Amino acid sequence: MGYYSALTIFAPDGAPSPAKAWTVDLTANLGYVPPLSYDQRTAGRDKPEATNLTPVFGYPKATLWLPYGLGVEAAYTLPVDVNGAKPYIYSFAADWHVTTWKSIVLVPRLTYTGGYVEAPITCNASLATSGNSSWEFYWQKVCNSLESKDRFEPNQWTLELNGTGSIMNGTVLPFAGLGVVQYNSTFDIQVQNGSGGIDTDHPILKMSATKGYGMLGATWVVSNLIRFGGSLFYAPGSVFTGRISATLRLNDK
Amino acid sequence: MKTTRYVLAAAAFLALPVVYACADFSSPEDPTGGLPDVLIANPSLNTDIQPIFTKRCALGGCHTPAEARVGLILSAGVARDSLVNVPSVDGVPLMRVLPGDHLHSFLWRVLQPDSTLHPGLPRMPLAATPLTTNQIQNIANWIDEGAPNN
Repeated sequence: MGYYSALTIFAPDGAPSPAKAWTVDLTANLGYVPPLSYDQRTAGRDKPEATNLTPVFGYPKATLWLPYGLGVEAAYTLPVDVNGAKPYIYSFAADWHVTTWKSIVLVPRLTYTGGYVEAPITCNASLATSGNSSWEFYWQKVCNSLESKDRFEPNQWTLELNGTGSIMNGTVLPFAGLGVVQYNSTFDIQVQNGSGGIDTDHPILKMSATKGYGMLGATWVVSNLIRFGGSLFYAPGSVFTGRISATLRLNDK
Repeated sequence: MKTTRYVLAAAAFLALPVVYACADFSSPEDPTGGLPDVLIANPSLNTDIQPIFTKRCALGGCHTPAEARVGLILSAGVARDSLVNVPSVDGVPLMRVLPGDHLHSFLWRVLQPDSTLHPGLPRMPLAATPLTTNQIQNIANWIDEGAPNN
């Protein structure tokens, strides 16, 4: 669950670069979802969980820069069905350009991520054709030959400090940041019963933890209007991955 | 020239996650299932056997009162009534537990990796780590002792 939770951390997709008040950034973000190994998918059992449903996780984001170096961000993952996984994740963030230290812009950032992802993880139709008699029996008898509607619900706050520099006459903005996340995630195993309802006999797994993470990246300022970002994201004990973004900056005059 | 170097550096940077991206955790298998793994000559149902049933069998979707797969409930307080001298409804025509004779008790057979002992049914616990040799033997010893309610 820590893996899923870390993947949905609303970390910067490019250098947090404050702009003049009432500037709007429209960003498309895409993050890589590394596949889990067989051992990671079995979690000590014989049957693997169907976790490798999508290789990417993306969302559009809007940022509004306000007076006094403040900014607010909102993102919503489009509920596009990918191999049965459908996200309904939303995030908010508040940025504050507090100070500039040796030409490095320091931006603390507070974020919240909520919503859920629905996916057939526990009971996936692939069990039926796995060729493994145990898994096929599990599909018939435990899953009732129906895909589960498992719900992963991230419910997490983060607090970050990002530093953004400027090189190549301001066309490249490298950045680095460290953050702390408070996870309160749940994973609700929603196996369908034979009559179309949800079998309530399965547990709801919960995770509450405070962990650290870091990111490193850069934004390429193509013009006043367009910029591209790339970043590496690492949450120790959970995931290491990369994210890219494209931003349209409006009204930055 | 300088720009080319920057472009190459950016490309290398973006290639990093493609090559090294990973889930940074492991899921070590615990063959004991978090239960004691010692051989007990005269096991007690409540102290030694029921914890195995509770942790490995009476789980959501399996042998709980709500699900009772094949009519079998292995929750504390009702497991023995569901087992002793109750005919098995799947697999071979045996009692689930025949007191004094673990070899002719379907419960013991269905825990074995040898599928010829439980034709038509996969090894239990289903799609999960098997019980350890000691845990299976403790169940056999409990049956051979007459499957007492102790």
